[in-house]
Amino acid sequence: MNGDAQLIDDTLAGNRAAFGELVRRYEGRLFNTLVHMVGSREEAEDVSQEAFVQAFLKLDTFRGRSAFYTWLYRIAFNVSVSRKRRRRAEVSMDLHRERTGEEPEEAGEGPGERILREEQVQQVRGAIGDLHDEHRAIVVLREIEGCDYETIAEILDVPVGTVRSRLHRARLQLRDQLKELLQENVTE
Amino acid sequence: MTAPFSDELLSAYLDGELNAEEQAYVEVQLRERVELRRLCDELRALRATLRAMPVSRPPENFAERVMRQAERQMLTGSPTTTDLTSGDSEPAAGLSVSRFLASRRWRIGLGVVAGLAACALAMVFLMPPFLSTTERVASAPEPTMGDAETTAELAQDRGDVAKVAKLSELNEKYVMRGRNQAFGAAGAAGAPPKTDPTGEIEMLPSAAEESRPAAPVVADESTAVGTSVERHPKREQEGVVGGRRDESSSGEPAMSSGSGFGSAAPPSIRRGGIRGMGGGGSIRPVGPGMSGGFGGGMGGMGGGAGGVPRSLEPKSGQLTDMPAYAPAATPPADMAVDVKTKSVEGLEPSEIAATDAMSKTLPSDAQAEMAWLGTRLTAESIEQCTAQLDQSHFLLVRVSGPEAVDLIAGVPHSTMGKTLAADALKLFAETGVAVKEEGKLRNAAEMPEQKPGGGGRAVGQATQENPVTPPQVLIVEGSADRIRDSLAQLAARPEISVELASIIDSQTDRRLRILRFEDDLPQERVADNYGEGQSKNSEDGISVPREHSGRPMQADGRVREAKDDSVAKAPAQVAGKPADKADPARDPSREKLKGTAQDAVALPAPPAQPQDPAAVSKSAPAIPAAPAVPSVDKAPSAGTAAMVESANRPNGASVPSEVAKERAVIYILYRLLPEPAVPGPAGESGDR
Repeated sequence: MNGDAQLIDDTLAGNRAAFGELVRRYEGRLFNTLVHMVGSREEAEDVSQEAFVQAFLKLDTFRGRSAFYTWLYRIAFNVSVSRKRRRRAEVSMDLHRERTGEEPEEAGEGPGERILREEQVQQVRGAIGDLHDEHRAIVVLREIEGCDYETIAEILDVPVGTVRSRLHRARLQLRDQLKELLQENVTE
Repeated sequence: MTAPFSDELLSAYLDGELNAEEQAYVEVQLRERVELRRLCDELRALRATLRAMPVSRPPENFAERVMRQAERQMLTGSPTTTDLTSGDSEPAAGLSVSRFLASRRWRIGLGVVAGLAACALAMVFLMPPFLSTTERVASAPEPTMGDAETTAELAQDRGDVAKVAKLSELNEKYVMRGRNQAFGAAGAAGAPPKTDPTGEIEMLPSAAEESRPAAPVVADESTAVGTSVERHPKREQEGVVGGRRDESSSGEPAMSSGSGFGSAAPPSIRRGGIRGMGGGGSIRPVGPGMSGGFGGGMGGMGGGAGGVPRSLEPKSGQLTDMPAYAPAATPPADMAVDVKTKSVEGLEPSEIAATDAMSKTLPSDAQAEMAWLGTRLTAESIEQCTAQLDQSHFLLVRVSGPEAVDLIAGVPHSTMGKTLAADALKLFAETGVAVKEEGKLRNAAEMPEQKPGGGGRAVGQATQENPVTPPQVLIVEGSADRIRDSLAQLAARPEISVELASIIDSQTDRRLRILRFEDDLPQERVADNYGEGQSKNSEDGISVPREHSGRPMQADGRVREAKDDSVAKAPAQVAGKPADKADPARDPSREKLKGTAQDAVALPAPPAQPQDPAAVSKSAPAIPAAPAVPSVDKAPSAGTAAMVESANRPNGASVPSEVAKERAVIYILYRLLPEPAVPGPAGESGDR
């Protein structure tokens, strides 16, 4: 985006507010993606914050050959992987740490429906969390971010063929784990 | 299309990622095959379910928190955890305050601050201020948000003119200094400075310190700098602060401070040859761009310089004595280790190498020992690693990340004799991963027995769909300084992950222990191999490597070009393996590794930059000099001659093929070359 380039230039010129604008521009997207990647809001906050900070500190190394968000996401991805390694003993995908009430309510949704939906959300997140890191990244980028294969390949620096094969495998795994849920959705 | 139908096409079909021909082909298949239609429906339902997931939004003040954090880190290099917590106990917090403030850099800085504060106080009381305190605060040139808040809070809450004045003065100093560092005079002119005027990053004393095992930290990376430190029950360490400035930098900024999010020192050097990798700190950013600040991170110094360090409490405005650094307790006697011998007493090899580094099944001491393995390179760990190198000890560094492959793109291929290549291969072979048959390395797929757990050899059946690509191996020899610089430059790459894999001790015949991470192992191969979704070799508990980029190695160490199918695939696959207990057959080598500097063949100096920019991956920066250590000295015994053995590709080779562009994992084996013999009666070369 041309706007990104200008903000980057302004930041490098000393205008901190310009980077703040970059943060506001991408915080939602990155955060949402990371929630699915790492499985918890808290972790997503930490990872996204750290990613932005590192992007800020290393902005001069951004070469502009990819989109800023691509670069940012790659940083965030590495951060999340590294943090996960350090917390290997912990349950990084402990979805029960998710606070309730954080998800927006749907209009006209009764309490029972809301609870059921939350359970389904947890179930799906759990299944996503069980994926291998890079499979999860591809699924999230594809299904949550809506990135095409080329963009995913660029972000993860893998060939498009790899994106295709991993995405398919990940989908098969998710399908197996969410069979019942999917059947409900199909019949609805 | 005549190729057999692959279900992958179905996913791509649903995503609209097929060309017209493929799409038509899939549609024909869908019409003819019921099971395919069923699968298609399931995948559609899955997609819909995933896309219906609720959107999570960050907290409202997220951007402000990010900016505060970034500015603090830039200005002070300090790890601030307040913004990271949402009531969580941030693991780094346990390390952060006292250890960070105990750092040498902070002590020096605070000494300066204390002096300035004294001057400011004197000015306040002895001279009528030109402005009122609040006016001074207001006129302070763009203090950071946090500092402004602190100052404003004090002014508002305490009404203590003196303290507010002092704080504002300090804030100004910090802000101005930070701004000057970050932007310099050129900042005013709109251009970032070239270098950090404050220059040096101090290397904290490491060998002199008692450091304890501490949680490994990811540091030094803009991608993963100083992530929250994992608490380890055995670790209390104070990480290292600061780092070494990359003095050989050609303008590339050194790594950003690892300080932001915690640091830790991996186990003490005293605990063994494979330990003592300092962790924690980082190489402070220097060079063009934003990064500036004091660099260094947090971390205890352990017995550092004299003087009682003091901390500035933002809330109270008081300068208070920092808690004294408590040196780590000495390790248990049965764990005493002689650094030189690099042996680790008291640990069963199987205990050490049976599982990956973080396995809970390991005894806590073993866990501690292995804790540093896999840690990111930091300034201190670089220093300590280098210090441990000698003629019989090598350092293995694992480099991974999307752009790791760029490290070897453009690296000149050497005509080094077989000896060093054979050494490296032999090292890996000791683990049973690379097997030599008839003088040639064979791909695991070509071995007669392919079974899971087969001594770590079997990575899985290589098939066309599932090629087993080996890790790439670089061998780098050089002087300690050269190796240190190489490691520093590696660590300066934010896009890649550089971790210490092992220190290989040939004399004690310890097996190469290369740690694997669970996420290195592709799940599909796990399923293929073990059918249980395990990520480890069930026999020896060793994870097998994930798919790696790179070309297989030929017997002479060259890498077969992608299109050259005539040469047998000969990857050097690396996997950890439990140390051989009593099986000489599996532990064939008790002899010192061959290959010394004298065996080396001097190479022409490789270019510092790739000759052909187009030959470099699109995402590659100037190729770091990390593995490319030039030497024009043709004398084999030249101690400082350094060679690079690229196991991968010739100099100026084209961009790695599609396979190689997969996320690369590269191992770099560092060997120390002896210093050149000094002529004279007392001259001697020898181990460090």
